[in-house]
Amino acid sequence: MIQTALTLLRKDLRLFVRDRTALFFLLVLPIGLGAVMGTAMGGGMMGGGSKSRKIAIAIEDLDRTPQSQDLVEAVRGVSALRVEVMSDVRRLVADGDRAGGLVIPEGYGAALAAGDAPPDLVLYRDPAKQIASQVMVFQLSPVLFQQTAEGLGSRMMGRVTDLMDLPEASRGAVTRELVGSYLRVEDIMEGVEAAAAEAADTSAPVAPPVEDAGESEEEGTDIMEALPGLMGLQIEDLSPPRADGLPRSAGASHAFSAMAVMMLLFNLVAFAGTLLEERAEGTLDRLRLTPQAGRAVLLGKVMVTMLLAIVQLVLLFAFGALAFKVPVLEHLPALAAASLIWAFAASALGLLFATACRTRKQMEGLSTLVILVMSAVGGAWFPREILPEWFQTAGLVTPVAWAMDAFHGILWYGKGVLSTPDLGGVMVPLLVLGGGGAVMLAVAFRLYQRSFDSA
Amino acid sequence: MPGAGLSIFPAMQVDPTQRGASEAGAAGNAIEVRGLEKAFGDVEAGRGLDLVVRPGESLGLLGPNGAGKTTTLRILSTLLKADAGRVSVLGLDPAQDGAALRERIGVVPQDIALYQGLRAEENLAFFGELSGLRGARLRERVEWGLEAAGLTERRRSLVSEFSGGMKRRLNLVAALLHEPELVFLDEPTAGVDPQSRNHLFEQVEAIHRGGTTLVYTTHAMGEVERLCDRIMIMDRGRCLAEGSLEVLRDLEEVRAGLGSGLQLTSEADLEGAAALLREHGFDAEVRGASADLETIFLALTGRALRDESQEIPS
Repeated sequence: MIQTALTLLRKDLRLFVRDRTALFFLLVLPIGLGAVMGTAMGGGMMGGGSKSRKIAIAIEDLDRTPQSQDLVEAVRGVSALRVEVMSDVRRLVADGDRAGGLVIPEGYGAALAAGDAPPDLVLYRDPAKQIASQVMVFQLSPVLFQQTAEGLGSRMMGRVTDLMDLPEASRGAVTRELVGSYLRVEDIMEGVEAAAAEAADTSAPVAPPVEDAGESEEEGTDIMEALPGLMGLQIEDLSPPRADGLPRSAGASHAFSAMAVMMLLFNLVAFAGTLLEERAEGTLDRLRLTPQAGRAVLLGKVMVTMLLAIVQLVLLFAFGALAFKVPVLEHLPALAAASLIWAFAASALGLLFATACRTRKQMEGLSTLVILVMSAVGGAWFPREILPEWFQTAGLVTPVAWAMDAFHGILWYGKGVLSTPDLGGVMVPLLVLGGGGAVMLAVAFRLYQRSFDSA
Repeated sequence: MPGAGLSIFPAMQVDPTQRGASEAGAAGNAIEVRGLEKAFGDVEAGRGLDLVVRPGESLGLLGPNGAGKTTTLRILSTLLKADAGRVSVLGLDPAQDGAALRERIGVVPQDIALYQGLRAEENLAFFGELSGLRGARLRERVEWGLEAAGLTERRRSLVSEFSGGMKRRLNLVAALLHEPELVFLDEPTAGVDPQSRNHLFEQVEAIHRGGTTLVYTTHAMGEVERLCDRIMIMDRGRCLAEGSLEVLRDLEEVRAGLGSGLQLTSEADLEGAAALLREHGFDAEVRGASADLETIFLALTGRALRDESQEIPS
């Protein structure tokens, strides 16, 4: 029996090593994806990738004094942050263009110069980009501590006693106790610095969804959350309001956007592959032999793949709305436009794969690799802002990044197609997707004409 | 013997101008091909091929694997363009007038080119509609197709549930729904049982009797003998010989291929030879023999196995 089993084993091994697609999935795909994921998560080839991984922070300097400039320069000196001095950072964060934005208010420099407590800095954060915004706070804390060290003791004690809402009589004793604890704050800050450095060098764990934040956190976290306030930093999470008053879920919005983007690609590429099946089975030739078919064959494929895409998107979003309260109805026209255009672009991409490959197996191998890589760099797996800068730029070449911007923009940020005074629109991603889809379809038609329809 | 088959090509080729004289000029031919050239890389599927098929005629196109039969059919039916040469089918140029020509021809492909996930009647309705049939005419032709294929009772069955023979029958009638003037049949009976083959023959014979011109390729010599008025044997993209079965039998190379023997010209001579042998003590039975098509085919194309890797891509 063993001899027979060994004979069967030899046969299967022979068949396997001669199957290029199977070899591709066994050897090339995991290594390729591992390389992409490793680089995306900051490892980099040969362990040198962490240097390029910076979190962008927008700073709006309303004060424009030497002190505020010093603060900007100090933040610029933080290795894990990439500073962009801009205006209207609140809107940038609200639009999802930046994970966070720091506003230095007027009077900041004058107060420091006078030895007074400066007005609070304001850090706007995008709750959908938790990892980036948490890293941002970790990285900013040492800088703020240093910048506001002078007079920190008295201000900090005053704020703490305010926070505790103590009666006037008790404040003296509490303040003395707190002053005694002041030195321990330095220890805490050392811990903060170490945590910030760690967060910059390694992949930060994914935080719980926004609406759950606080419910499951341990008691000690409150101290950490209070710390920025003690240093004069107000943090405002710009969670977009919903018309129906329900809390928004960044996790659900991202998940359904990602599914709408990635799964649609897999399904449509698989369906477009029926073109190759039809060629292999001879039905494509039979179609070409009918007087009415001609290039309508490919047009028919485009139409049916689009139709299937729309059905899939409708079901997906309906389920998201019912089960996860994803705000589908909030901007229905925008969501419909995005779905239609993405269905078109994804169909075009599927047909591009089908017309560029010679066999279904070849198409499956190639499309799996390309779709997975596009999904990784395009932000369907994890937010793009935590990727290295060059990765984020590369992501813009993929339709996935633009589709994610469109769907996430609508479902999380509550954007419409057109910009409003308060919020940007998703017109640009939709135009890019539509244009890209048209180009891909034109190339697919050309390839079809050359490889399938050429007499 | 294989070398002998190849060496006789030039002498064997029928002069197309001579042939044309008996065909009332080019204008009346269903198919007329002159100097057809087609190559796929190093593989030459057409090397100056000439071919004429008269209206209403049934031509059997024979040749070993890689001979260029399927390539020739694909060029004639608009699926491929020739590299050189002149091709006219029903008075139209397949490369230029593809859509117009496709309305008038039918092609029964070598593969079972049907949608396995569709029902029999759905397949016929689909191909009928793409062939330009609509409404009552479409329904009528679908009914005809189901009946002709012997599948009326199974009209609502998925094709994937059919036997090979049932699929082949459906594959045939799907090409005939729009009543084409000229039908190309590329090995339409491969892998079917004798009953289905006979059914297919009867259908093909019926449309031929109705005046439809046929071009039939196969490896089954008996099918050609039964169905075709004229036979063309080709190899490596060229015509080796063509004519009726009687004409082919009479070729010198074919007679030589029968091996050593005594050639007698009449039945009386045959009887005399038998009597002579018996007189000399031989227990002799003498029968008349003539070359069948397979013998002719092997005599012309040789007995050497063909390298499959040289098969012409479709």
